[in-house]
Amino acid sequence: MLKYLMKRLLLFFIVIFGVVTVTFFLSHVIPADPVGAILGENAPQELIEKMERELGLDLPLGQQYSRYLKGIINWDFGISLRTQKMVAEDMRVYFPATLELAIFALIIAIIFGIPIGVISAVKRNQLPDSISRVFSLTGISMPAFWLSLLFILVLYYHLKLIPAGGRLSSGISPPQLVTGLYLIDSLIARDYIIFWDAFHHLIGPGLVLGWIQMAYICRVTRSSMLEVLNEEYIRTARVKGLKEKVVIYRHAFKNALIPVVTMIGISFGYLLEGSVLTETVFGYPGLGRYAVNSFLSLDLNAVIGSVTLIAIAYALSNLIVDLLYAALDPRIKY
Amino acid sequence: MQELLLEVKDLEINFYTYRGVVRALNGVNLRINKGEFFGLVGETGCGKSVTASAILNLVQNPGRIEKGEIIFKGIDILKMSKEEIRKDIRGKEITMIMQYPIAALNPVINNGEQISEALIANIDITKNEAEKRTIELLKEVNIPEPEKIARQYPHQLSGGMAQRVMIAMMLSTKPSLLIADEPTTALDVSIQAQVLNLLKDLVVKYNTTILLITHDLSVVAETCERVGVMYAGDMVEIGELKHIIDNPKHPYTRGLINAIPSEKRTKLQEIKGSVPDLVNPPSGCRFHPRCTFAKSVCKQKKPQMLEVEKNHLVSCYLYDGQK
Amino acid sequence: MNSNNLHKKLDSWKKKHSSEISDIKESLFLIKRSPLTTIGLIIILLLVCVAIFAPIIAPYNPLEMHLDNRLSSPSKEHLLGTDELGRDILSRIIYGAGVALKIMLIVLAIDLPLGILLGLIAGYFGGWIDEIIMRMADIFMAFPRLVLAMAIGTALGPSLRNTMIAIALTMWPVYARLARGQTLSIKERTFIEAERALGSSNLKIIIFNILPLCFSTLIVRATLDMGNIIRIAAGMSFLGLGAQPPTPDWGLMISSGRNFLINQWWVPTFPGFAILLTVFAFNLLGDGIRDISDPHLRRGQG
Repeated sequence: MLKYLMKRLLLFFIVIFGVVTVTFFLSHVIPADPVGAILGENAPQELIEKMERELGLDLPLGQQYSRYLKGIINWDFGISLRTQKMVAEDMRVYFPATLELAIFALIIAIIFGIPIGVISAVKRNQLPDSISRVFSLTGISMPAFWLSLLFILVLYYHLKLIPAGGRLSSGISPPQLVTGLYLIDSLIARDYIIFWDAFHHLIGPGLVLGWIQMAYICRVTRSSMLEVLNEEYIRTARVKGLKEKVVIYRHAFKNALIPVVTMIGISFGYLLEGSVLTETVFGYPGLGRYAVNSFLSLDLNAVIGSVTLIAIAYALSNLIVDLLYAALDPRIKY
Repeated sequence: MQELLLEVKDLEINFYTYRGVVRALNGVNLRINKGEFFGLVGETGCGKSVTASAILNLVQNPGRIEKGEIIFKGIDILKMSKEEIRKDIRGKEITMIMQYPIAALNPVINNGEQISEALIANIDITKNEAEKRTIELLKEVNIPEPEKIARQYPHQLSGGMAQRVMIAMMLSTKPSLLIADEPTTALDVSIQAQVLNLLKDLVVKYNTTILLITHDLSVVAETCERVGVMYAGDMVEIGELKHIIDNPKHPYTRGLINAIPSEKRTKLQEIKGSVPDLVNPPSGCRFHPRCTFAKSVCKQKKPQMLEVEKNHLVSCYLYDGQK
Repeated sequence: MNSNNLHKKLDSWKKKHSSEISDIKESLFLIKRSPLTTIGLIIILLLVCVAIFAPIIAPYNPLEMHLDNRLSSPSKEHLLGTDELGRDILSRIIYGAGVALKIMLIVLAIDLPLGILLGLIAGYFGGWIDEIIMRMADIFMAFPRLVLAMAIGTALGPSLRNTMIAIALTMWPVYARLARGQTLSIKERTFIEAERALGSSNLKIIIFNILPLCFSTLIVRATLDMGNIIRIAAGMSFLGLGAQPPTPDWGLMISSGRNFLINQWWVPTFPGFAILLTVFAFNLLGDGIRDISDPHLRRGQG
């Protein structure tokens, strides 16, 4: 087990190193004239040179790379040109917001996705199956940004069920910082007004992301259950005279869960991806929106910072999934 | 006088597939007496496993039981509700062991729990007692270190061990009928005899009846008292073991026996032709295209079962009017 | 050539390919039995027709502006209304079908050969080449797809062409892994040994013996990805990193119509339906094809 853990951790760091290198290429090597792109073609020469010096773009590529790596190891991405703050500082504010949204959406997705997937498989080719398949396929096919717009139109404007956007209403200040997750922090501070307000703001983007995630989880649960239900040991369980409920939930579901857990890990990646679009539409101050704004304003440091952080979060979730595997499947011995 | 345990009457099962309707069972009749060791022999796809599934009402989609009766202890199983079959028949009265024991055990539940679960589901017993009983059962099937095996998972077992666990599980509730579907086919030759002997011993000990399904006549010869031979969805011959082996009547049974190596035969004979496609089964007797004795009547009508000697039934026109 | 001869040839061809023929027959049977797959296929065929015959079907020129008729609500003249520059939304959506399909096809045209090539090389030669290619694949897969596409798209500069390159670059690892896996299993078969013994070159073996056998798996995978490509491209355009005005791109239409969401809801809403329907149809088809090609599920369906 320990040996596997070490191996898996090593792979994790190799991937992170690769990610960082790819990001370097994308930010330093490919763009012909990053500064020109930021300042415009007609910027005065001395301004361009000053900025190049600030960003270290006048150095040879090798030196740029080592400087870049050093920065990342110290978790120092420099100053964001757009917000004029340290990028690491910005991310400390925005990342928990995205994490909170992602967890919220994932909980919705798991609570609905798994049972619906199981029912779908058990009632294969019957009405409930068809309904759930269309419903989940719709979720998978849904452009997140467009669904967000529809939610704003219907749930905010027409039904007044959710606020227009943001993370808290304008009159309410964030709770005492502990985890950065407002729902948890407000509970720690026993401030239920903030809790309710934060929850209220999560509903819109949370439902959008939750539905899409649910669709993925539901599909994997269904196909995994279908496969398992064909196995010999399910027949054995039936021969034993077990109740159908026991056959499905104890014998089939436990086995079907293994690919579902993988999917949940992968879907965390989709969540980060979806949060980019959803946060942008809902004006939710998370890492996704921060990344988009950095991209659009060609804020190099912030781009590098947010891409690196998103990739690390993604790789970390994959690592956790791999470790969860071992807990679920006794056949896997590391 | 022997007491009748199970009677299958005129059982017909079709499978609805993309190629058309597969006529898997074509009116099969079968009687099994209490306490006997009955063997059902035939090639792959002849319908012997489907018959077993039907007895447990576990015929899988797209298969459908079209007609027939399965009378177990005087009651027609096919007329029972699903829930009644589950509660009163499966696990309690009829159980089954399968060809691939490791695949037949749940990979994420440990061996002991899988056995005690069967006990708890069918017998009025506490969890603690069930666990104790599990260990005893594992001892009875000659498993060394039963406590350790109970804690292990199926993938840690050899095929032979896994089949013993299956046997322990399926006999735990003292069922009246144990169906053994190719129980030794997937095992090493050296283990096969051990498992068969174990089954033989336990039948006596548990006062159980066994329906052994196999394609291997030698397995039947070692264990069974009576034998049924199936071909392409038809029961072609039923009789006591010595009748079937020493005095086979049906041309197909003869062919099967001639294909087994023995001291008497220097040259093995094979049955010419191949198993028919059951989407378009041959008319009349399904064996007629391969039969050297085929007459014109064989193509027209399925032959009735005839008693050629006591307790020896054959479905073949060769014996029509002989008696 | 007399017809008898032709018949004979046809018969011998049928005999030679009997297993393939029955396979196709079975697939067609299964498609017919799966109404959802059929619906998906029909929608896609309609979509292709719409894309091809856009100039005939569309009531207006998608680029023609009528500033005096801005943001008009759906009416007889403009079934889906007009946008902020007075362009007919229906016509833009119709032309958008072509844009979406073109993006998808081009991305696949870059992706499939790239992935297959790298996968084949990795699988066939093994060793350090395999190691390098597969670790590269790991790294590219360590990014969420849209984020990597955004990063590449930004680095190359926002444009439709760069978006397509960016999406292609995020997807090749999937195909490379599949092709590698297939190659590894095919490589071990005896007929490859025989080819090698006969003195065929590596290149010849790869092209004539391995490549054709990889295809079906990769095609199935590609159908599953088609909807995804369209969805990601729409997202990129929505963020302003993809198609640029005045292209009638659905994502871009939603992006520019966003400001009119509350008062002129039709402007951003209708293009979204177009994306949803298209991606949905491709997913239906992809699902169906996967089910059909999966022996496990095939058995279950009988």
